[in-house]
Amino acid sequence: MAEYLVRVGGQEFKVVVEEAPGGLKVRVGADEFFVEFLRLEAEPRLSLILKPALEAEGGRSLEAVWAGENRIYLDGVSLEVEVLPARLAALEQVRLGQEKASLQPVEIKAPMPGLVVRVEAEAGQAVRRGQVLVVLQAMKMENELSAPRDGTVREVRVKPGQAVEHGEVLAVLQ
Amino acid sequence: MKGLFSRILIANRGEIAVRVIRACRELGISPVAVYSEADRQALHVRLADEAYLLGPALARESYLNIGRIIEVARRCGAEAIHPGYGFLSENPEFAEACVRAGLVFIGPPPEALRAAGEKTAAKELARKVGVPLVPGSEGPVSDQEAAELARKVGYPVVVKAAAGGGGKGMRIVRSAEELPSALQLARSEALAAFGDDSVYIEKYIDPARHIEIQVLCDGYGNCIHLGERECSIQRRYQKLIEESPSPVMDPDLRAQMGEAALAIVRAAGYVNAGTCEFLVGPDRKFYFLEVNARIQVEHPVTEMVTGVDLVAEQIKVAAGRRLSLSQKDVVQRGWAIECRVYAEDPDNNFLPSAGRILALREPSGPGIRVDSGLYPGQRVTIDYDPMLSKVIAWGRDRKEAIARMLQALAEYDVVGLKTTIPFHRAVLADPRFQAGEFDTNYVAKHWPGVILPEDLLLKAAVAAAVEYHTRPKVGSKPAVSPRAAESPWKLAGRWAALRGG
Repeated sequence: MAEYLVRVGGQEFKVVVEEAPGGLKVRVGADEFFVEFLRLEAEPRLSLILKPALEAEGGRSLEAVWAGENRIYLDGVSLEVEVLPARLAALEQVRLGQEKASLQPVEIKAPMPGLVVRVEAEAGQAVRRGQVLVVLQAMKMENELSAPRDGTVREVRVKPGQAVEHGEVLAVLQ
Repeated sequence: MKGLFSRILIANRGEIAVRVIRACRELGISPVAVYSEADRQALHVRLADEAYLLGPALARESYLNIGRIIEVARRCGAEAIHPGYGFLSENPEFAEACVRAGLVFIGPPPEALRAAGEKTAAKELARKVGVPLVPGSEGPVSDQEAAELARKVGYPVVVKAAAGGGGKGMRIVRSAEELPSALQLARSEALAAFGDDSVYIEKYIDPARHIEIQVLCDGYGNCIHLGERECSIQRRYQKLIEESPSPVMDPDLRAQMGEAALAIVRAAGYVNAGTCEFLVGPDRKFYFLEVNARIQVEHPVTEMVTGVDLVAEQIKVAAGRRLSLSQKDVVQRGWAIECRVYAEDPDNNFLPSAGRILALREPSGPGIRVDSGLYPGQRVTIDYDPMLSKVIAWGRDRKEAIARMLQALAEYDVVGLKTTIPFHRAVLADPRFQAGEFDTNYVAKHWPGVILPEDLLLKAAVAAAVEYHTRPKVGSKPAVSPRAAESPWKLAGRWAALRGG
């Protein structure tokens, strides 16, 4: 028997997996399934049949694609996912508790590679949620990047005309 | 009957290049592909009879490089060039360069491109033939003229790029205070996209539906229309979903709009396929917007309901043939809907998404057509337009078309980057859309972001935990960790190996 903490889509699930004849017994909260599990050969695709009981002939069919180390794709939606054995999760909880600090600064990152067209905020400036900070041009479109919450601009790291990479920090909000 | 071409060069990429290859094959014409350094692996390169490198990924040095394309066409012995949409498709200089080089440009003649393709010229034509226009400026305006005119016609107004298309360099302005910044944005976008910062201004019809009429003209003065396409589901003035017929159309309005479209293209001396775009107000009054002097992205919905192959007609007309049908032969049968799949994040303001296609499954089934250039392992970059493919569903009525589309979208897996598929699924399932009640503000007004099915996270948690639990252990590292730089083939091979071992 193994216990996992799964973080997906902003929620946490405790999933207990147990070996069972012909498959796995999986418990999530009040739900319990007997899972017949298959990895497809040609691509990183998984097929699961969730049976209500060990002796059931079949059950819900579910398909997912492993889309990267921490990414799962199912029903047309790609989700960030993290699986931690429960023991590790407990250790992490302790560490997080120690590190718990005041309100963290927010980094405004480039959502795609592009060119900075304009910078509409400066360091020290108070901004409202939704206020445009940087205008980025990519794929011939101008994209306005705005403040995710109220705050003060701590720094602006880019200038108009500058090319930026995906994920590059453009500005920091406090 | 005049013979067709023996070889056509396709000066485009992606799904439309594949679409033109298919039409060529059907007509017994040998298709020639061209490609940039970014597209060596692309489907159109592999499906064509011959393929020629144009230059670096940058469109200016490849798909927009007129000199190089003409040179390749002459050297490979092509008799005609199909420009697809976008890139050089509406560029009169390119059409002229083709003519000078003794090549047939599969599109309108250069004069007609100028008369119809340039927005201000097209409006002049519409005015002359008495087709109604949205009140506004009769041409490019200075910032000051824009302000005066906006006051005269009343806010809201819309600022648009004079040289543009596809909504680039376009801004809605609701008050005089917003005007200066909107003008600045529109001008800089127009300059970036078209190399020309002139803009014009007009009254903003609200709520409006965007409805367009497909036309076909041959070189003997025959022009027909093939009914309408409803294109009101847009974001940032880019179409996302189109259908034919339109839920608000009736035979009378269709006949009126069809006649208006034909009057405009006839006045332009238009030859080949084209589209007249209109706004239809809440009072069912229609206003001419512009002519798209090319084959359009959404042409398949018209093909599905009329049975006419528009790309084949384009080629035949360019080869000097007469239209294969007359107006009375045009019959709309059933209903067709198209969803454009973009590499964009519908949950994050439709921002472009780049990545690699890790897994791909394209839908099929009764009434389903997929026009796509996608392939597994494809690296989707931001070098070009983010549209990846189009799903078209045909049904005997709108309800059946929607049901088929929903199933097709559920089957469609594009893994490795964000796409608009979840958006399309949500819209097609929305009772407002199903009732045909929407306008061009639908996305801005009603799109709440992707709503995850209730038990999706639970299912994901089960799948992820089971995957982790059953993962073959190789040392202490996770056995399956597809890093971005790795080839999906290598990855797939490893999956197979792991499963076997």
